[in-house]
Amino acid sequence: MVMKKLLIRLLRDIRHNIGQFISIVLILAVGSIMFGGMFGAILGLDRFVDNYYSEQNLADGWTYWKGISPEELEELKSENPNATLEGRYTSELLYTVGSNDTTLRLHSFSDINKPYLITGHMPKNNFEVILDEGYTKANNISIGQVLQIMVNNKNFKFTVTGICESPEYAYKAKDSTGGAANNRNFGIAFVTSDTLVELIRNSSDYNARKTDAKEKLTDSEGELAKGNDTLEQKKEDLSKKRREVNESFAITQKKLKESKHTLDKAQANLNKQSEKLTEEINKAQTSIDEAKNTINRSKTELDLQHQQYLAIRSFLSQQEQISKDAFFETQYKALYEKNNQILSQQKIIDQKKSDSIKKIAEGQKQIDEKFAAYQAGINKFEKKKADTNKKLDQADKDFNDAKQNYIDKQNQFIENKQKVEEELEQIPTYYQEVLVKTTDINALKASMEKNSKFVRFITREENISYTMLQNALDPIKVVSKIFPIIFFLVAAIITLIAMMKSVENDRTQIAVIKAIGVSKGKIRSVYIVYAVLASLLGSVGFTVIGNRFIPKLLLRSLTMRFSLPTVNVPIFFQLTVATFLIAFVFSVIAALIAVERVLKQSPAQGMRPRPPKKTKKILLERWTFLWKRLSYSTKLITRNIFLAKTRIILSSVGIIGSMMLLISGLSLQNSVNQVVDTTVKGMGYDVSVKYKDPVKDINSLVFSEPVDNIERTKTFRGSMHMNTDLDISLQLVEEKSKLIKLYDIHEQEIRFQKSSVVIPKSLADKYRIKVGDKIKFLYDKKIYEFTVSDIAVQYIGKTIYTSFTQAEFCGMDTETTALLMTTEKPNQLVSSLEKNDIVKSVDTKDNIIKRSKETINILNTLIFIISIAAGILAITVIYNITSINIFERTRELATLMVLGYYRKETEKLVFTENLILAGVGSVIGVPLGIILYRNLIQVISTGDLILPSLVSPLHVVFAVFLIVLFVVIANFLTKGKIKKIVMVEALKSVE
Amino acid sequence: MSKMIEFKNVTKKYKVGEVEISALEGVNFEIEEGKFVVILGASGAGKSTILNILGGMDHASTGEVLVENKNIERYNEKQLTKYRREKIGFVFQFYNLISNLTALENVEFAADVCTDPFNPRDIIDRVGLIDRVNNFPTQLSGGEQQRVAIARAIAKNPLLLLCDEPTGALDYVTGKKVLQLLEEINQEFSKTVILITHNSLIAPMADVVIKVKSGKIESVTQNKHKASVKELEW
Repeated sequence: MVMKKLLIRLLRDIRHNIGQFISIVLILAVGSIMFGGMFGAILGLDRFVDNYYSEQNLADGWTYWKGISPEELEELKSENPNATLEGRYTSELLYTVGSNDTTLRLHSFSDINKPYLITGHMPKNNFEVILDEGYTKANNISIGQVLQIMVNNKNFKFTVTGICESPEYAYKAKDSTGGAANNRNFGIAFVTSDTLVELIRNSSDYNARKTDAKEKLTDSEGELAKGNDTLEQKKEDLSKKRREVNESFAITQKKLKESKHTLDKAQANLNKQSEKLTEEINKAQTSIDEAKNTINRSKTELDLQHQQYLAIRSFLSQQEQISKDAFFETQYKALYEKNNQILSQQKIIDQKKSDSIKKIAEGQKQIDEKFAAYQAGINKFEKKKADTNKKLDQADKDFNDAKQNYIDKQNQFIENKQKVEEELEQIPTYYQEVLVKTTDINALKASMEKNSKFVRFITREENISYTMLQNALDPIKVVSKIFPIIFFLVAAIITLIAMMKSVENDRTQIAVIKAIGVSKGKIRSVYIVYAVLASLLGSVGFTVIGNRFIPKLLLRSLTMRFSLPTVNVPIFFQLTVATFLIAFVFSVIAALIAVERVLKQSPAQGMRPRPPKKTKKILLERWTFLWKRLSYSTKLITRNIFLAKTRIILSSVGIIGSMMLLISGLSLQNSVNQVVDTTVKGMGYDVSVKYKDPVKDINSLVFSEPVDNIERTKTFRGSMHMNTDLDISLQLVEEKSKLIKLYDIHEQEIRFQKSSVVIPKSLADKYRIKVGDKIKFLYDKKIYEFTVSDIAVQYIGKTIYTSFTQAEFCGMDTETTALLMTTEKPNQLVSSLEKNDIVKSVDTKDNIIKRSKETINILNTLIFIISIAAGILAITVIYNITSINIFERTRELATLMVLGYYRKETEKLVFTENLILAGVGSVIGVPLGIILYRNLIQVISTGDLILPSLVSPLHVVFAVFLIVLFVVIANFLTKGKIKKIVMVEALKSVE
Repeated sequence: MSKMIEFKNVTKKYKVGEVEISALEGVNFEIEEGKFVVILGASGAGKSTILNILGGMDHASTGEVLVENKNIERYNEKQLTKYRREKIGFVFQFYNLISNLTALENVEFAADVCTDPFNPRDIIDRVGLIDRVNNFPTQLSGGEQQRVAIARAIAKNPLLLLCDEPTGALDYVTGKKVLQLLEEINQEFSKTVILITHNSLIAPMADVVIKVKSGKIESVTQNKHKASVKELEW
């Protein structure tokens, strides 16, 4: 019963002091909205993106191949059982909408990177297609529409069955270099694999390739036929030759034969002659021999006789001896003379013999010589014949070998031709792209690199769409974590003050209730109920509102830039509970503290007026010189401030908090703008063009508009080779470049020279690199060393700049497909370039800036929300405190009014105090705000976006102005309270 | 002695929630310059209402209130404030001094506001608190505070001195002192003093006694022989 009455009283009190209650609720509400909104944003956006990615099965990696067949893919799959690999077909077609040439990139459906279907249904048949939402909206394409697309002079009809979004194109980029792609000109479509295979089959590229191949085959065939002809010709030549040779041989043979014949005849003659001579000589010899024989016989006889003589000589007389000696001498002489005759005859015969022998021999010699010559001739001939035959045989053999070779080759060619033709037919089914899901990217990469057909592996972090979205979310996440906390803290403090005042006002009543005999516990519980009501009303509904609207607001700027399916940021039940609990805890603690103060007193004490606070002279009064000169209002205000320290401090907290938020917000925007401005400043070009093939001769290019400056540029994506490898780009710039401008830390333009190597300041600071130091750039497995010549201020991205000359010197391939140029009419130039076949992509400075600004816009939205919130906070705080102030001073103010103080003067008294608070709060809040801002910058800066720390005096002044404005608004809102003071009432009551 | 104040058919109705309360119903009276008037009545009779209307702190629902022949009921807020500023000196039951100003400053504060004030110091002296000029109200007793309040009211050199139960919070002796002061001021400075009380024993000190009952004027009595405060006992 008691409780019921107490509660009824509570409710009536609330109604009576509805302003007070509302202001508490309002402050809690602002805190809740911020809390719910920002944390809802963090949780919601993050979760949304993660969910989106996981539901649509975003790839962990995109790998590119020189065309692997489905069979080869299966092999690859079996080599990597822990990863999921899926091949995908892609084709880009030109689709003209009205006068606008658009590019449609068709992908085949895959389990990895599933498109998210928004309306319609998935294609069931070939040549049915689903398109991305942005593109369909920009080009007014609807479901059911049939798109007629020409592919290589053949007309294809595609029926649109649905509208979708693709997770890998959340940020629409044509390729990983971030080439321009807007919704109107670039669309993503999904079709069945068969459709793409057929398209590829019909594509001019493929057909050209086929024709090319076939031509080459035909050429080869022709070559082979020619070869055959040559062989045949050769064969004929050989036979001819053989015939000729044989003919000549025959002739020679004949000649030789004739020679032989002659020789034979000569020989025969000689033989005959020889015979004859021999006969003669023999005859002569025979007679000589006969004679010789006779003589010999005679000699022998004589000898015998002699012998006989000699035997008996000694027995003979001297005369006999002499006579016989003489006889024998004469005999012997006669013999000798006969012998000599014979000998001379023999000699003659011998001479004749030898002469005839000589003669014969000579004759023979001649014949022999002739014969030898003939023999030699024969030999030679034989040899020649043998040799020639051998050669001819060899030639024949070679020819046969050659012919066999040719036949083999021909067979092989036929085999190959078949193979090639088969393969050609299969080529449209080869994958250029394989999507990958894996937890171990490095292992997979290593395995793929072994394959000769592997070209490249692009991870999520290298995928521009992914990183752009992450980069957009990151700053939101960071800022969203910090600001709500600040809000809530301030809100909590204000709640405490408000509760204390609320209870304090009730002091007498509480005392009375206590006097009646109600327990302290029951009294406490009433205030707990008050706290519950305030926190419930101030948190639940508003958290939901914040949760629902703030992320949506943030998301709107997100969805403007990114292609995402409509987000429904869920209402996070936990947030509501959390906010309520926090609000509840704060308000209950506040209430209990306040109640305790009152409950401590005895009922009697409570019913008496609170003893007025001791007033004493403040420090300032010591300076009587100054003090004397102050007006009473000033004295009053000054005393009020110095004597009510608690109130002043608490009010200041609100203003300080608000100031911190404003300074952070404004300076953040300043930083962001600086980033954009610097980027703009650095771009001296109007148009950037990428060609399909490297540009060999700039002067040979023709443009539809006059182009003032053309410079080459080339970007290598590699890494800095240090203790850890840091991803970085190396951009080549022409010497004395007018189109790429770099600025050092003193904002002086860096003159780009041959030896220039410019590194970004962030890199120099982080790794303590100075001018003159050497850095290593790792690209395509090679390390290039450069000496740093300048340090440039760079906010977006990490790029090292060097000259073409320098790069060439280091051995890099400086052929490039990218050009930068300036022109009077960039848009016309761009549209003419886009139509040019040799151009791959075109971008304008305006587009690039627009994109940077759009990305940064999200931050701006955030800053805007924060500024608004800061304003609301400041106003609410000041309103509340002022209200309390006025309430406490009602009596005083009423007195003044009675005394005849004009309302303005009375207001001045109250509001001047507020303005002084604003001033003091600003003074303290500015440096604190700067500190907060600096910390924010550090946290928000990601690897690729560095925000400069710039605190502009102008912004500080503006922030102070805003705070003053907020105070003025709060004052304005509280004016009514002063007006409402009914003098009569105020001056009557005890309290 | 001219008619300084004239109430003509003044009514005052309050609406409290759904209930309409009639505080004054057809009040008519006149007050001449320089008189000491006591308005008597029970609590809730409507006397404070009359004073508040006269002091420009409240508006009548109907009727005219002429002060120096000017209908203050026609005044807008600014004019009313000016009226209060220059013509009215108010003394409250609960003093209502500015707690963060010293006694002297409180008086100076009020003097600052008007065009032809008395010298604050002199007035403080007049109320006998010259020794306490630099004390804050919390450092003064009830009587002293009230005297400062009176000093404040007079310092403005107003046309009218309105006192709402000035002795209500004071003891007998102090209260008498305060009344004496008012009497002196009335006689010394020829200020018209209008004093509200429920204590009929004070009535004899007045020139005119207006009795209010249930929002109507019951009687207006001229005291032919008014008593001095010293003589009063209650």
